[in-house]
Amino acid sequence: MKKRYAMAHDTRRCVGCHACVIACKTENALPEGGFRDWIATETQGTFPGLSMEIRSERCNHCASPSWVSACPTGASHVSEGGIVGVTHRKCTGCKACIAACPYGARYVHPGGFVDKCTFCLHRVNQGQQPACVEVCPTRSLTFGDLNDPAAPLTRLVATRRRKVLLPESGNKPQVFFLS
Amino acid sequence: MSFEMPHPARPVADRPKAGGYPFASEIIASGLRDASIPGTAAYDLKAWMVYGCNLMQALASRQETIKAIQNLDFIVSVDVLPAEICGWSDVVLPEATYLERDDDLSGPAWKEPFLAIRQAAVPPMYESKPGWWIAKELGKRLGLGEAFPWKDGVDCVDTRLKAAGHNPAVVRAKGVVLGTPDVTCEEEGLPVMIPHASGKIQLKSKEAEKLGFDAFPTFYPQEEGPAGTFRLLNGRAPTHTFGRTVNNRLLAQPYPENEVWVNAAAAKALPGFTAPLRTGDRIWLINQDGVKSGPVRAKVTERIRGDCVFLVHGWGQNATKQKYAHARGASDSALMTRAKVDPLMGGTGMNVNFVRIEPAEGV
Repeated sequence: MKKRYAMAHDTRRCVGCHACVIACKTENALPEGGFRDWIATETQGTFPGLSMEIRSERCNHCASPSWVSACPTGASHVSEGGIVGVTHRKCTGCKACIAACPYGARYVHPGGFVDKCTFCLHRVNQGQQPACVEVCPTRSLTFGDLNDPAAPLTRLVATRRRKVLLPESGNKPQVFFLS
Repeated sequence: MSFEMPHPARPVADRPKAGGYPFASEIIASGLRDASIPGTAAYDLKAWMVYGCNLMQALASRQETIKAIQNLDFIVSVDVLPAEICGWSDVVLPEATYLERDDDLSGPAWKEPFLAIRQAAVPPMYESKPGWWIAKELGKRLGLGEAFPWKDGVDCVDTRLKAAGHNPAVVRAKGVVLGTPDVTCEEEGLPVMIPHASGKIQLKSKEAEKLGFDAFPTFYPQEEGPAGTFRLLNGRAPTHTFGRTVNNRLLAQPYPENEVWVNAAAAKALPGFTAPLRTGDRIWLINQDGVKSGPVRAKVTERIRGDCVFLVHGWGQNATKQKYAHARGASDSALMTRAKVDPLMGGTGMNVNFVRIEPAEGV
C-alpha cells in the first residue's frame, strides 16, 4: 500500500525545550540562523485565568500543497510517502514557494537554494525515526505512516482531539496537533 | 525509627562557618563565601578550587562574592568555558568538554533505574584535559598518588563496573543499562519513612523551638518594594538549563538572549514611559541599590502578575571570551544584590529585589 507519512505533536506533553530544533540542526547540518522546525507558544486569557499551548512546528507536508504550481523549475516536488521536498541543485532560490507556503516552513539557505523539513527521509528510509522525534525528552512527537492502521501515529490521530494549522488554507496539512 | 545519614558526620574542616545552620549537615556555596571573610569562621579560608561553577552568576549579592575573593590568597578554576569566574582566578585548568572525556558512571535509583556511561567520542583539543586527569595529576603532585590507584578514566570506570557485576564491554557498547523498575514512593508500596525518632510526622517541632525558632511554621509577610518598582523573579527556561548553556552556539540560535517578562496591563502605564511598552522594546533594569543591567528586550505577557518582572537566569555576562553570551540580555544575578538566608538550613532566597524599568532607546 502507498505510504502517507505524517506526524503528530502532543501539545499536552511538550515543554518547549527546543531539543527537536537542535537535533534537526545537527542532523541536517543547517546553516547559522536556518531552521526547519521551531517552537510556537500561544497564550489565551488574561492573568491569572490562562491557558497555554506549546507547539513544535515544521513543514506540514501538505497533501494538497499550494506551491505545486509556484515552483518554476521543478525543484519542489512530492517524494515518497507524500513528503514535500526541494531538489537543491534544481532550485534557483527565486522564493516563489516561500511566498506560496502559508506556514513559513521554508527559508533560503546561504548556498542559494530553498531548504525545508524532509521528515528526515534519509533516516526514515533506513528504518529510523526523524531526528526531532528521536530526541524528544517528553516523547511528544510521533511519526509514522497514516495508511498503516497499526501504526501508533494512526491510533493517536484517530483517537485524540486534534487540529491542523490554518485548515482554511486548503492545503490539507499532515502534521496534527493533539490536545 | 531514626533517620540515618548515608555518610558519617562531616569533619570540622567541612563546616568552617562558626555556628552554621543547625538543621543543615553542610554549608552551601554562599555559606562558603561568607566563611571566606577573615575572622568569621572556625578557620580562615585561604583558597578556592572552583569546579565548573560560574560563581559570579550562580550566587546572589555579587559584591559579597568579590569581597570574599579579595580576601583569598589563591583561586583555581576548572572549567570547560572561559566563564567570568575564570577571569577572577589565579590559575585556570581547562577541562575537556563532555564528548572529549570519560566521566564517572551515573546510576540514579529512579522509578526505572539505569546505569549510564559517558565515554570520550573525540580526543580533547588544545591543552584541555579530562577531569580524571586533572584530579589524578594534582593528587600525584601533592603526594597523594596512592589515592588514585587507576591508570585512567576508562580503567577507573571499568573497575567500578566489574565490582558491581557488570561486563564493561557490554555497558560500553550499550551506553545505558536499564535496571529493574522498583517502588519509589509510599503510594507504590514503599514503607512509610518518617525521619523523626517518634515515628510520627511533626507538625510542631520541639527541636526547632529549643533552638529559638518558631515551633510551628509562621507566615511573615514579605516587604514590598517602593512604588513604581517590580519584584524581580528569576528562573530557568527549558532550553537553557544552566547559566553555562547561554554560550552554546547551537542553543543561542533559537534562544539567543533573555527577555524581561512584564505584565500586559502594567506595560501600558509604566512610570517614565510616554507610550505602552511593547514586546521587543529594549529596556534597562535598575534595582533598589542602583545596579543597572541590560539593555534587554521586553516580553509583554499575561503570564506574569502585575507587581513582578521575570528574567531567565544566565545572561548579562561580562566575560568577553564567551562570544555567544557576552553582552546579551540582562543579568538576574547582578540585580540580586540582596538575598534572604533561611536561618534553619542556610538556603538563599533571591526574589527579594526590586527593579524599575527605563527605556533604552526612543520608546
